[in-house]
Amino acid sequence: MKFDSEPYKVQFVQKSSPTRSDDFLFAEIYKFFTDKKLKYIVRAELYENNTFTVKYYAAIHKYLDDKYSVLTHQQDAHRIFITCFAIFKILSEKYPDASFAVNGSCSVDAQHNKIEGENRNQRYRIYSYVIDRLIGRETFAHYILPELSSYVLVNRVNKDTEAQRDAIKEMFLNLFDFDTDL
Amino acid sequence: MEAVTKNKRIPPKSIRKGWETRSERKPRPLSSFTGEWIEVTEGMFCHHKPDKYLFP
Repeated sequence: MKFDSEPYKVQFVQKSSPTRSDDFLFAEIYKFFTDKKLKYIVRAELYENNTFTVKYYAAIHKYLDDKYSVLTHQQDAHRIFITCFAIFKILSEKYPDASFAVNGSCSVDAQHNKIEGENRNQRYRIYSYVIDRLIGRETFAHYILPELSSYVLVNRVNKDTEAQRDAIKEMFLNLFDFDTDL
Repeated sequence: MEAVTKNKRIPPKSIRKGWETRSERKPRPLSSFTGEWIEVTEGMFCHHKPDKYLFP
């Protein structure tokens, strides 16, 4: 994977309030255009435990239920990742105490109507590689939850990073579709 | 030898291990979730250490 690429130019769109069914406090929305003029939307949602989850999708997929999972086949993933990390940097400067959680969305094979499993999925494996490569250990403590394909960066302003990490897990349990019946 | 090569089929992406049909996918039982965290040490996923990190 190439790491010497420049990120695409990012534009702040708006700060969005949650609807009644949303759990987050607010979302910051950014956009950027790829060289092939494909528009991407990045949503950074801040949750109560001062943690941002960052999600992105191609704007052409905005009406799809699985917009975060659909592949665009533009062969440009590395630069899109680099751009998303540039947004991490912007958020980190605006909210220096914030932690970050990234979840690898399960890929969808529309042709065969199949969906990838949640455990250590393809995106998670790529994000893990990129985060390990780009982000050191001074600012953030790094944790993974492979069962949910999640990578968490706990800001070290939290004296007890493990407590913060566990609070993020509780957030995941509310966000994911679990069957609580025994 | 040639016959063996001819019969060798590469499974399509959709029947790879861990992939499910979308309509058959059910919520996962909470009891199956162990919630085990792993701390990521430097170089666990990427062996190449950069000269400068995006975040220190």
